[in-house]
Amino acid sequence: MNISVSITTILNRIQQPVNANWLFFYRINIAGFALLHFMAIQPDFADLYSYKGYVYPDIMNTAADGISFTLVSLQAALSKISLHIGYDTLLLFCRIAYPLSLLLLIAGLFTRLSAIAALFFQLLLIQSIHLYQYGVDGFTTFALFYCCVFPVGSVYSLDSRWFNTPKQDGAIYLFLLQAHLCIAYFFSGFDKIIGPTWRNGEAIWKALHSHNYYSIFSLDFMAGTPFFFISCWLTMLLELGYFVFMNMRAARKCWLTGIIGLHLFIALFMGLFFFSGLLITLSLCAYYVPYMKSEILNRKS
Amino acid sequence: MSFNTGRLRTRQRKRPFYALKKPLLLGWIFFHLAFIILINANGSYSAYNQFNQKPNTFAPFVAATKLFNTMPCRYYGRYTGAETGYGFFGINVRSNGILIAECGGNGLTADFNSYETSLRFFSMANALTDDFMKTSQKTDSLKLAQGTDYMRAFSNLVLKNIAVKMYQVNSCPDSVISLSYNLLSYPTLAAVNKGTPKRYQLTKLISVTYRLK
Repeated sequence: MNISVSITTILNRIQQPVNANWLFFYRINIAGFALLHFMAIQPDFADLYSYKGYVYPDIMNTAADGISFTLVSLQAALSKISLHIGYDTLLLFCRIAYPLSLLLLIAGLFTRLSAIAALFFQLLLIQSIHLYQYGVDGFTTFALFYCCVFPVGSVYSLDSRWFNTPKQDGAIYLFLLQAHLCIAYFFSGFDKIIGPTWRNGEAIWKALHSHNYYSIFSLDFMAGTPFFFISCWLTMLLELGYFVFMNMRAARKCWLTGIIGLHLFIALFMGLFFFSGLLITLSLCAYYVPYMKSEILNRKS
Repeated sequence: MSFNTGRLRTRQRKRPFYALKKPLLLGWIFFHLAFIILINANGSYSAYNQFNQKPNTFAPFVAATKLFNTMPCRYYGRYTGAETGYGFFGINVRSNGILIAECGGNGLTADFNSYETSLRFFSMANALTDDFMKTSQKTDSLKLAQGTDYMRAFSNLVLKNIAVKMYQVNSCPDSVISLSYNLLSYPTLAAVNKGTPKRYQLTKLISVTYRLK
């Protein structure tokens, strides 16, 4: 009985009209984000990827899992089919091809192919320096994967203009994005609440005193106040409540504001600018842009 | 602005695939979401047990781990991004480590032009922290010759590579460079509230010396 009610609720939800511009917003912002993120490492590109770097590519490759290509394993695979390309040449090719595919994705030209190329190069480049990975990379991978699956090229794209691709509102895909984010936030909150340091306020104190994070100013003066205790519980509440309150029309805006505030705090006091930027973008794509009114009214009319 | 649904309907009449598209898509969506939930539930259980130093003996967990380690699951997880766990900063915020080199009496650290690269470099150092902490519980210092554990040997190779790079970048006058991996700790909130001075402390976990000329 409950399962059938749940399935009916989901099916009703994906029938509801949404603002199709969310697909445009998603495509532009995810590709733009990935491009900016890639540009941010350009000043140290050789230190990360070349044989002049801190960890040589072949050493890095010895601990790669072989599930996806690295630059070294791709070079070896190409050699097997008699395509002998030097490592530096391959690196240069990927260094140009990845941002190019992202630019094509932003423009919405050959959108699906561009998205597949962007996903391939993102995985290739990040797996080639897998020791340097952190949280934002996994989010970028799934966001680019969804650019391959969602009809992101159907709205405000060169594809739609030149090839007259049919416009879609992508409600079923929106459901997937929303559900994915709900799961991500739920487990993020769940893993925190089962840890004692999150329940007593020590976790945020410890995170803020990690030496590698940038903070606009020290919050040490708050040590004697319940600030850290409240911040920890507020973080867990926002994350655990995401799947409930973001899906309630009345509470959505408040919760979204809270989530954006949480990520702004992470950006300003922990220096995780790209991580915060991407998560704010994803939440806006999933829960703000689709419910903007103009397009829905147009569709009804 | 109107939606071009007419063309879609024409296609649906012509090709049976379009009639099946929605149920197939829904089926895949539920599979994909179930995959993500299971990956994360597995990760949470594992992290909880690791934190409390308990073995992962729960039968469904063992079965799920086996399943996720099969090649199709690993490929699927990698290329869809579904392999990512979302327990950031949970259960506990991980400890920090700093790599410090010393050559000719001068302390050296890795310097980068962009903040993002520095962040990535420190992420690597932090990822190594747990392994080194486990290692240091067993032995006082890391002995290169033992090399029984593959990841330990790999970590040593990484350390040596970093030492060589630091040696080259800083044009060391000496032929010897030592690289230490230091755990950085800061007093807890409770300790600070009881009057402990707010001061960082470095605890040397390992130290290795390389002769490079």
